[in-house]
Amino acid sequence: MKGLTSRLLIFNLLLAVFPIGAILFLGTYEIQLLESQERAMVQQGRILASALAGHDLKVEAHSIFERLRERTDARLRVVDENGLLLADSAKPESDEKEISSNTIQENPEASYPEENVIYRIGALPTRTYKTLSGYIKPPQTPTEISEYYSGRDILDGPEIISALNGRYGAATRISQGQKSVTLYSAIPVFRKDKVIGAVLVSRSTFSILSDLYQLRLDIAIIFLFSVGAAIILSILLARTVTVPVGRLRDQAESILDERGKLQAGFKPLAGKDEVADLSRALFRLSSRLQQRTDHMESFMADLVHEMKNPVAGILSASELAEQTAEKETLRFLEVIDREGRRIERLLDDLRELISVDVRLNRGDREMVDTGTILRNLISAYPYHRKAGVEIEFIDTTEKESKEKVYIAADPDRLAQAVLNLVDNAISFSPKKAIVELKLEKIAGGKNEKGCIQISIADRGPGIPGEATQKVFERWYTDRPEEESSDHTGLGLAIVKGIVEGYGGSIRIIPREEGGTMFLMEFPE
Amino acid sequence: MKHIAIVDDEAALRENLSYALDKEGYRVSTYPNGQNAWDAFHENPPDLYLLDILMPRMDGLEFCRLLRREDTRTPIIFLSSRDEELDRVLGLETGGDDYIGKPFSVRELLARIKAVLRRADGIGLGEPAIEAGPLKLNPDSYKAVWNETELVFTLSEYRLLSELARSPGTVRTRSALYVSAFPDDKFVNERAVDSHIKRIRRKLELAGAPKNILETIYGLGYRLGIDV
Repeated sequence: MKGLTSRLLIFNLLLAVFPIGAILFLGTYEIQLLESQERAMVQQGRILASALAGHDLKVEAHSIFERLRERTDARLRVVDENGLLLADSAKPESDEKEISSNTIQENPEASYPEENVIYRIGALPTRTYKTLSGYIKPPQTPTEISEYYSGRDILDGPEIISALNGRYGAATRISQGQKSVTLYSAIPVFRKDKVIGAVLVSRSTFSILSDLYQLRLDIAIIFLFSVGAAIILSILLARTVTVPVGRLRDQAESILDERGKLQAGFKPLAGKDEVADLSRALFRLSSRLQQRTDHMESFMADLVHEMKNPVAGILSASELAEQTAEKETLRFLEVIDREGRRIERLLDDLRELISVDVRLNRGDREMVDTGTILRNLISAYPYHRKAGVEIEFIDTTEKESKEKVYIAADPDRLAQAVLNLVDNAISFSPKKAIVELKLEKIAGGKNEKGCIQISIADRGPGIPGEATQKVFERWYTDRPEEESSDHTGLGLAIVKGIVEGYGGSIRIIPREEGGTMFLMEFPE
Repeated sequence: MKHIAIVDDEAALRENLSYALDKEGYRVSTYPNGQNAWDAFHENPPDLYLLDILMPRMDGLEFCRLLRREDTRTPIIFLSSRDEELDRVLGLETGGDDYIGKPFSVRELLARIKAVLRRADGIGLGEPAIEAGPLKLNPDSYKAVWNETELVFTLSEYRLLSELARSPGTVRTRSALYVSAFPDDKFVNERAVDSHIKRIRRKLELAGAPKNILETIYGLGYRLGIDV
């Protein structure tokens, strides 16, 4: 995932994070719920207290509890003016726990949302915060546990004492082993302005907390789903953008092949969006460019062809004229003949240069046994043309490993490149000099690929530093005036075209003892 | 007196060539394009055509096709400045007898004309017949036979092949082959050998010769792979 996709994902995730705010808001909701529960408890207590006011506390309470059975969420207890327990709405055997806890506990495995893995993970930051803040906050007075009254006959909690004194009393106790607390409300029972007992209403906040936990869990799950949905949506949304853009990029890259040559057109993207528009614009641009280069190539080929006709006329005329010409005229006819042939050579080289690319594209590559080719070239080379120059072939690969060295190329083109360089070296060599043709295999290292080097070295005048790149340019020659008519200045441009066409490189290295070395490197 | 028709849109060439041919004792007609040459064919049929390929109105290819429909005997020497076109012309279906690339040496052209005319008259070059395995070359008729199949070559192709067949199994360099196929041409272009070899190969293959009978020895030349 990169660029566009991750940016879209971040924005979408931010949106999904907002439900977390709702969980924080639940704090207020919890307080409200607890308050209303307490109000309900007080209400219940008051009704019971007023119902008991005119009767015998114990008998009436028992009969009311009998009628109520357990159809109340709260546990009701009635005490006399001394705090002695007269009646209890809870069954004696379940005395250990508070009512609401009990009912839920009957069904233990279903009811602990806070035990859920998702909840635990979600609650982790809060829990950590609480633990940390616990160190900072002053230690709170330990609250009494909710089993405070269990198994007692005389209830003497502060809320009871307060109620027996004629006031409303309340207390909060922690349920043992649970997060919930139990709220206690004690309401005095009056008979003729005299407190004759108290009603103790107790209820665990367990159910409220349990609901809240459930709610939080639900929100956490919704949050997880939102995050999942955000990721999927972002990726989908991003793909609708990045996939066409990626294709557009591939198309843009495919216009030029690895050799930097303009390739035939691609299929533009269909569709109505901006990316498709861009793709079509790119297509038009590249087709136009392609047309232009095609036009250039065929124009050059036509030009070469059209030029040959008049040159043929000139050359045949001068040839015929030589047969009848006088001595004086002959001198000029020779000039005509020489220059005419120079034009012809130029046209041939030019055609070669134009077609190098075309032929490289068309020509199938094969693994060329380079050592053999070079040996053949030297043995067939007509170097008698310029007397006194020897060619020495040094094949280091044969000496060292006896292994054959292969270059992926068209053997004719490769031979042509080497021949051009050998021609060049010989034409620059002084008499009796030696031209060295060397084949070497450079083994690859860990990070570098191995390569095959072919070098051609002469003892000529050398190439001035500033010209080492220029010599590969078309029409550039650095020859003495009298020789230049035999050479077109295209030879090295053709060599460069061939070498680079096969993924190689060529450079010039001046030799220390004088002369020039052309070094070609081909990938293994 | 042999009659030679020059069909070329280059006026300078027409003029030079008719002068040279006239001096050699030929009767010459010149036409600037295939159409004019075709119009005059029935009234004034020549013994040999010098035919350019790219011409206005009717090109050499079209003319050759028209001519061969009525007359399969009159030899044609193509003049061309484009190697690629020759592949089409000197292929199997049209009947070119030889070709010479522009620009060319007049002396070489005259030698070709003489050789092609001799062949048309059934007079050989005075060279001995050559036999190399299943390949037989007959210099009297300029024809070659592979097993039982007869092969028709142009003069240059014939000369190239006979040079190779004279020493089967040994490598002949490009320049040696060039000299034998174009003995009088001063304008050395050894690339021409390659395109000729390609065409000879195709013809041999069609006659049932094995695929790699004409081996390329890269960087060096060619070899006829027949053991004698």
